[in-house]
Amino acid sequence: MKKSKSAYLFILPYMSMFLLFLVLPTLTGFYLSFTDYNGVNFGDESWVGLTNYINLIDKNSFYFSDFWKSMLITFRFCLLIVPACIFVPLFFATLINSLKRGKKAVKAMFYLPAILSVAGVAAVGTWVFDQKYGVINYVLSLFGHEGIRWLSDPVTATLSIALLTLWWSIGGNLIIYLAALSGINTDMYEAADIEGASSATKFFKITIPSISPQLMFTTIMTTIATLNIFGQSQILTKGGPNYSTRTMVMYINDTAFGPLQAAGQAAAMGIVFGLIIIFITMPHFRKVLKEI
Amino acid sequence: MKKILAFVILFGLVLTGCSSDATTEVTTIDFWNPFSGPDGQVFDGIVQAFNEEYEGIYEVKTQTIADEYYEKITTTSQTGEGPDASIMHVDQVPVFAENDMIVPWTDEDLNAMNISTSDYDENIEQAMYYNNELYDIPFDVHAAGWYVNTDLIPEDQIPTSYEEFRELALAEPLVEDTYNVCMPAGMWVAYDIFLQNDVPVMSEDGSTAEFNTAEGIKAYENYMELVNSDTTQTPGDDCNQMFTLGEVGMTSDGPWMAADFDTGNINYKFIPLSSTFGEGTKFWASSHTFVKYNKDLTPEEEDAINAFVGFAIENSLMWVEANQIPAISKVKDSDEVQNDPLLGELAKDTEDFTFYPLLPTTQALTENIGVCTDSIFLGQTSVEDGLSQCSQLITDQSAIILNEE
Repeated sequence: MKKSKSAYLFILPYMSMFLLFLVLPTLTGFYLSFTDYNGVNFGDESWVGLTNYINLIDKNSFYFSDFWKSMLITFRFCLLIVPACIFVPLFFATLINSLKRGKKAVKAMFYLPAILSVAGVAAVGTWVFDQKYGVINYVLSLFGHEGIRWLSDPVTATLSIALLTLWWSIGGNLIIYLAALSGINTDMYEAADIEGASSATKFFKITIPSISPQLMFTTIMTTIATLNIFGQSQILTKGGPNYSTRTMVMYINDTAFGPLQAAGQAAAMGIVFGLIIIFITMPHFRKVLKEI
Repeated sequence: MKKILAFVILFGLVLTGCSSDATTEVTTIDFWNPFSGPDGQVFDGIVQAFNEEYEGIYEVKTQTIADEYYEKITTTSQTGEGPDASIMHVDQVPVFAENDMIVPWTDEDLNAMNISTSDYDENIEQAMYYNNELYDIPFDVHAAGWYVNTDLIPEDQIPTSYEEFRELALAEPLVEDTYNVCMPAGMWVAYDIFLQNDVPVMSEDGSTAEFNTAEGIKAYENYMELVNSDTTQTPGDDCNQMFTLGEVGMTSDGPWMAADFDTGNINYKFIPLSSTFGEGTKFWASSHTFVKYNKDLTPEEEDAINAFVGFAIENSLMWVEANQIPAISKVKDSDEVQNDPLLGELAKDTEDFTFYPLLPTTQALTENIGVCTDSIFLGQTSVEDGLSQCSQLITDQSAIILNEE
């Protein structure tokens, strides 16, 4: 293919935005992580070297305990949300794929929550999990249960956010799986039928391996998204009760813009957290790229 | 044809370049406010009235920011794109003053507004100053109070003292299948518990939280006795929802909730929170204030800001429509406000309004005291442990804030 200089012109707008809104802020954040920047007077900050990073591993530091507690809370969300956001959409995608009629309508129904903003999602959440008139407690009341104070207890508050995130995210992965399932060669299923394979065998021996790149991709993307969870906690529980749902991004936000105004410290937290995300996801990304 | 088209486009551009803004002498100021609810419409009405009165001279362009109001002010101010003046909650003043983002009002400013600091009650006047500089001019004062369902709690049963409140809270329901009192929680409740039991909250220099004392623990334990009683609701229940449905006789919130309660067709009255959590009469209050930002403003823009603030305060009776009590005494003490069906009782008791102390560490107190005492309220931690952890958190944060200055 003949190389064309005009190709650079076409990618220039995107590259400009990429540099301006991703690279430049990242580099600026990296610089600020070595300063005592307070988030207000840019230019007045002083160089503090590795202090902000040391604070994250020094047990005597004010930030140590809350930083790792937020990390734990975030990983707890990951353990709850990621498997659910993979297996549940996969289950429904498999069912929808076998529908003869109404596929499009069902697809749209599942995808609809994905177009909501996080504020809209949280608004739905406050209705669903309302202690007196929420949908879930209403269903429980039909079985004689007095209802659960969903947002007042650390365990149920965490569960509420996880369920809400699942409902919000299910559509995106479902669409990917449906596309992947429709691309599987049906000859393999016919051959399996001839061999007398059960549905479970076909699913685990044909379906799963055939869509493994998509599974891997969605796992990585869902993991990254869940590690960055913020809006649902911020709006639904404000990190409560008693900071039990304060995720890492929330804690970074509070550190930068809260009473401490420690934006430099928050920048260091962001860098460390970003490196952890890269460390977790990069090996899997490499594997996906190899298989594609 | 092409030449005609080019000429038309060029002519249009020339006309656009000759916009009227370049030739009029109207001074425009950018004013931000956080009134995203029904009160926003009332405030817009005040702005509109000002713009009509000063048409051709000044124009206020107001922007209502619903979320992350102070974060957006902070961010935009760094690039000079922030507001010229804005509404600010009084407890936010120290942060913005410490960072030189807002500037003090001068005597000339006050003269231009036709107001004086002595036009305010003493407790309100004190909240205008930070580090002995006048940074904020109060527009209103607001506080939480008790909403009393008068169908469930007869007039003669409405508590007027601490003992009467405890008696009512611990009594069997006056009406079957209801609770007399829905025990509140949150930032102002914690503050009121300490205020009304003479427990110091913060040291004078703002370095230390001082409520973790035997008196503070005792005060909170007395409060928790009511919370844990079978005669009050289970912690975590939505008190306001229960009040709207006629399931509780009393719930606590600010006058801004009145519109929500009106949907429940409840007959209610709104009374101050005095002597609820202790013998003391003081209770938490806040204020929406006018502040001016550290920008290179022209003398005309300064005049415009002063004119608007003066106008808004002069006409602050309009603000009663938003269920807010005007702060300036001549309006606050007027018959219209004192006899207002919702605000009247509270307006008569403004001498008991107590603002958070204006210290460099105020935010450490306000951001944490409600969250960390909620764990006590919800039974997740004991009073002793909860107050200990809470005071330590606030003290530690205060230490960092003060070290950074």
